[in-house]
Amino acid sequence: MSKMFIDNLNELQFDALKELANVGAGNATVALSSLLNKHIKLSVSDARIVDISQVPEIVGDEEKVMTGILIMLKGGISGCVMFLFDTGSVDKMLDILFEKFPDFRSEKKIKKNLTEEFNEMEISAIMEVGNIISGAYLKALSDMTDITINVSVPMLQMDMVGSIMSVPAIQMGKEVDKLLLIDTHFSEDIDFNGYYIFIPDEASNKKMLESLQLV
Amino acid sequence: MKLSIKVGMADFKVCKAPNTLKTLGLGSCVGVVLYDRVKHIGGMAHIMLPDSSRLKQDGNRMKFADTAIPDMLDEMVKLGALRMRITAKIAGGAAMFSYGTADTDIIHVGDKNLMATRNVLESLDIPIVAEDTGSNYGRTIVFNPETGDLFVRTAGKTEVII
Repeated sequence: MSKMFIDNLNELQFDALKELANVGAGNATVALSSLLNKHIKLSVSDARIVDISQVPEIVGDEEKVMTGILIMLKGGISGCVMFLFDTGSVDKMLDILFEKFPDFRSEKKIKKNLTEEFNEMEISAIMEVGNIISGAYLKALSDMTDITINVSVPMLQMDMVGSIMSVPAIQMGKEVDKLLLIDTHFSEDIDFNGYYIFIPDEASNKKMLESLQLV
Repeated sequence: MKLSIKVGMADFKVCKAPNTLKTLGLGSCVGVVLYDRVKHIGGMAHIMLPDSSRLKQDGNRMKFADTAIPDMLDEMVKLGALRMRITAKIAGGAAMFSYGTADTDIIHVGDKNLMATRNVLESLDIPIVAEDTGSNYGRTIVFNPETGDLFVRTAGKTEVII
């Protein structure tokens, strides 16, 4: 399994991926601050390459309830990206988003599926934030590598993180088992953490690094 | 000493009572439990995909319904289980990320896993005596070969026993 490209990155190559993460965070900072009309800063506190199966234990445990926003990538780069954050953070985000429209916040009722705790507008808002953050990182990637990336509409699941991760594990599992995990911290007018996950397929990995002339 | 044995993704384990088996975070994956109620021998598989036909030689047989279930059955027989007595309980196979999804691949992989699981069990003459499957949320399961109970936990719901 360690014949994979992503397992054998040298320091230069890994630094390039980390730099991408930083540029992406910078883009996202601008986009989010503008959307929310607030000062929001996004910073990367850590970036590492881990096994898909390790993600649940890194974020807490398999049964920790989190919100995952998943976006599939096709075209120049194939794979997926996911933004993962705990449900307390969802509340904080919604508080800011709906600050001027408190009537749109739903009353909390425990329902069968966690997503039903939030109303349609709130869910759309969360997906849009995920979309913007992912878009920011992907723009950084696209600009740096000069590769076009096509994205799907965002998909949402609020659930145990083990269950959430089973989806990219299945989708990507036929060829890759490693991903880039970026710890992201949101600060200034807000305060919470999230994880940004990038899982390119094997061919895309090579392509990216080739175009950065790091192969 | 009673052990709680954990089954990972694309994995299976077998055991005798009083040990128990568990797997966490089933999404579109299917948890398959096989049970010999006389010998109190249980097996639990966490299956990710339906069919192994495109599996490379050194691939993981435990990932696929059509190879994991028969392999697990063999292991249970080695522990002393009797094929004729074995029954099954299954959980999982949810449609994950159904909110906003346009990706039919992702929505249907749970269904495909369930269908493959049912077909394999039928071909092995193993009846499914209980299940908690489908819908759109993840599950954690714990199996006790002493009683044959399968506990199913989900986020935001109370635990059920099937």
